[in-house]
Amino acid sequence: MIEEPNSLAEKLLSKALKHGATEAEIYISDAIQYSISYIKEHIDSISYRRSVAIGIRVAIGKKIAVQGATVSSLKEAEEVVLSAIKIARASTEDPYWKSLPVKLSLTPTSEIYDKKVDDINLEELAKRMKFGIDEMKNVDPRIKPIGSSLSISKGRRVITNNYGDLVNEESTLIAYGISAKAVEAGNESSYYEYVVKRHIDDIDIEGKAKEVASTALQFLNIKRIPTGKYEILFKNKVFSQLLVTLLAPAISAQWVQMARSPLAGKIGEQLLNEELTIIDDGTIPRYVASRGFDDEGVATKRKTVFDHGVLKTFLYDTYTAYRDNRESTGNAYRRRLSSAPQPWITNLIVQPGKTGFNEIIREMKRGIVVYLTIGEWLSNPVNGYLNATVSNGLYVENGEVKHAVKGIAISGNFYEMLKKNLIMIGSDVDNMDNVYAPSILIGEVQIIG
Amino acid sequence: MGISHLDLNEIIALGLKKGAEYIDVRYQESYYELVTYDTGNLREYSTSRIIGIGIRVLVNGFMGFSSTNVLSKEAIEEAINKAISCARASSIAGRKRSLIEVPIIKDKVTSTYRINPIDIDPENKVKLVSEVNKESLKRERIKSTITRLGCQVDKRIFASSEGSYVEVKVTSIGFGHMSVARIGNVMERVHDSKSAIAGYEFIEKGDWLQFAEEIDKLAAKAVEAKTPPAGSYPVVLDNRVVGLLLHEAFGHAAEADHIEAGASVLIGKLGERVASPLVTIVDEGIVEGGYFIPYDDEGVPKKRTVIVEKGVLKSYLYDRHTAKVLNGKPTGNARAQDYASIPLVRQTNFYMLPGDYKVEELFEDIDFGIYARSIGAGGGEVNTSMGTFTFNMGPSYIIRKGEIHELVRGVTLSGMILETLKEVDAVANDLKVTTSVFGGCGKNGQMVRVGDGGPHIRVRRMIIGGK
Repeated sequence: MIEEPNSLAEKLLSKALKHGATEAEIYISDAIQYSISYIKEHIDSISYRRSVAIGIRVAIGKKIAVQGATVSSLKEAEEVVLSAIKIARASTEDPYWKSLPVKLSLTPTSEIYDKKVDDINLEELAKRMKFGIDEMKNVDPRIKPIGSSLSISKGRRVITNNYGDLVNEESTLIAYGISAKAVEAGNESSYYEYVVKRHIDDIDIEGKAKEVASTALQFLNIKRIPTGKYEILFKNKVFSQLLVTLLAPAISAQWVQMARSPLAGKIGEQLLNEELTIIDDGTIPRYVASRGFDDEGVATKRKTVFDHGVLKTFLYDTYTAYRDNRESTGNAYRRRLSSAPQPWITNLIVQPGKTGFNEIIREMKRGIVVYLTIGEWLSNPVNGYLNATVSNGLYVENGEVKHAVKGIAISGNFYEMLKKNLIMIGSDVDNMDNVYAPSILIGEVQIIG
Repeated sequence: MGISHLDLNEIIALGLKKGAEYIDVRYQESYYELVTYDTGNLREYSTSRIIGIGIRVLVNGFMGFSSTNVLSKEAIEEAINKAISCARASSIAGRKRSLIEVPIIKDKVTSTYRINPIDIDPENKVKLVSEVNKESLKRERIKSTITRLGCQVDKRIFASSEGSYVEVKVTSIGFGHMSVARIGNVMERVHDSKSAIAGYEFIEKGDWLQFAEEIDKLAAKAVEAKTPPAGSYPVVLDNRVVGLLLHEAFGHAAEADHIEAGASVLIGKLGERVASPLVTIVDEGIVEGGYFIPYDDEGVPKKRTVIVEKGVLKSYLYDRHTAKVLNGKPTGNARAQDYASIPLVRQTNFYMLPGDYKVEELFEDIDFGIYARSIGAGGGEVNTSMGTFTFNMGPSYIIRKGEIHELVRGVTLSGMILETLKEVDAVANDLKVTTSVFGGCGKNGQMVRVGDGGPHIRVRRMIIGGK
């Protein structure tokens, strides 16, 4: 059996220092995951995964290398360390390199570990999923289940470096997805929901199933609408996805320093509507990206990124913080264990407004409520240009839903939408992965029907 | 390190002893190396190595799966137990699985390469990437650049209780470059990459300074380009855009797991016209320029599968299970991201066969349209059950009165699966298939390498997103 993570981390650290690293950082991830998936009304598969992996970052002076690997034994892990050192020697110096974080610590973050995951009963969960599927069918005879999936993960992260500290934390993550279609003579539509939480009891399997069924029915009656300018109500999770694609990279200090962010040099400016306050906070109990320390062991914290529309700060890891002569904001993130950390959002939170989702619809004159899009992730964060294709939308006239729409393209500058064209912010915050946002109503949006 | 032939057979024997009526074990050993220069600085020299096994069992017809990268005797035995207990848990609402019969195969295939990229001194790779990146920053309007060299050696062994034992080793390599140009407050980015199933000789014979220069020049030009007027127009698509279109607008909807789940607009359409008679589409495991997939992750040979022949839907893409339940023929399309993932029905190299037109002839009849170009294109997405798809283009050109005119940017194309390919009215004779070592296709959280492409084609009408 492989070593216990803390002791493995310490052994690898001393191996690195002994073989010539001037600085070394060891990241260990030890995780298991259970997954259940249904196709239509039957279990397609149940699976179990165990993985132990390490991420190594070594510096020889200002020469850096990063390695990631799954490891099965101490010997294998030590080979990874030696290989990292070999590559660091061959690298070129990074003039901006100062050091790894000199102080590692942990912000106490509560409720990110669900003890119920320790004695998980797969059969019982599979039965609950089946019950959800049955409930969905009970909503309406036109509903046909497509599939459903549940994954339950728990893992431990350990980080240490040569400056002496070691941080260690366990967390759980539960993800549930369900999809259905509605079928009636000659017409068909589908819808899905995807939910991620830290605690299993925060996911209402049956409730979500029913919601998917009744929502899918709304998209049966599809008609075309002419190209033109419309009001667009982006549903909370759609807005969240736009924020991840367009805003998250633009507020990363790395993007700013590398001259790729449209927000560079604009700290203190009123860039968004004054109704919009956006916060990055890695410490909120139960939130899916909450954790005591970031991916290089720096304590997480709360920062206001936009205060009533005014840009206040970018997000920093240690490397970018040194370059701007300031402190890391605890936003280091490793895309893969083999990637160098870079700044990225923790929980990105848009403060809600006061109007409920249905109330906003009643206020709309001529517009589209967007429930699902495809291709929104292809929007361009370098210039803030948004492109998305609506797969599930409802056409609204004078506060009333008239019919469904699909296949229409939305485009425009995201920052203009969030500044002068913002009409209303919803009170209905929900999370798409680690972005928590309300629905938002934007005016004057170009659509191609 | 690693595991011998004998070990896999031992795992299979142990699984059978513990009650599985079928078991397959996939062993994977994959090494990936990425050198990234970001705006004049070596940002990352990273390598990753994964080794592990995935175990799939059938117990009383129900499937269970487990994986582990801890390869001690105890951990492997625990993984077998978990796979079996997962299969037993499936019996409460599971559907019995039957795998269609396939030939028992013992084979070992290695993709060709001359120089193992892993053996090349890291210093040489850093020097090349650094030179290209730094040169690029000297060019007019270029403010930010990312240059990458990536290579991968992926070895997979598939062994099953039916007696198959297939080993495939693929060496792939590629070079990528992204540049951001800026005039005043206006910015635009363009990226491109070239990859091959090859060794370091692919890097040695390329002119990467020139490759980056072309991208930089395009970015510098695109930053002052306008977005096209939004609307629906005739479009000429270049080879790689055709690949994107087929992959998104057709390939996913043809994956039999979507058919089985009732989530594809192609259900019930076998034998029906789904495209113009000029359109023939195939999925093929080994093709010039594509990824290398002689066998899938169920040990089934991946030959050429004709999906659409002269506009008529001929076959879906199947794994062994969907081929059985949907009365299809096994097509070798079960693919897993890695050892820890359950194989799903996936495309391999999905492309359109060439036609008779010369490329320049496609433009002749167009009064006003778009020449959709792939350099800088970002990819696409489809909703197979709603039938909608979209993908974005690199900087493209306006066509006026049969001629290519000004550059435009921010071009997205979208449409409906069952409509778009019927609008194809000309197919050129210049087939080209490509793959990428930097990315691939995502589905249910799994990324696999794919190839796609075709000849230049003309579509009478597509929705262009712009201003």
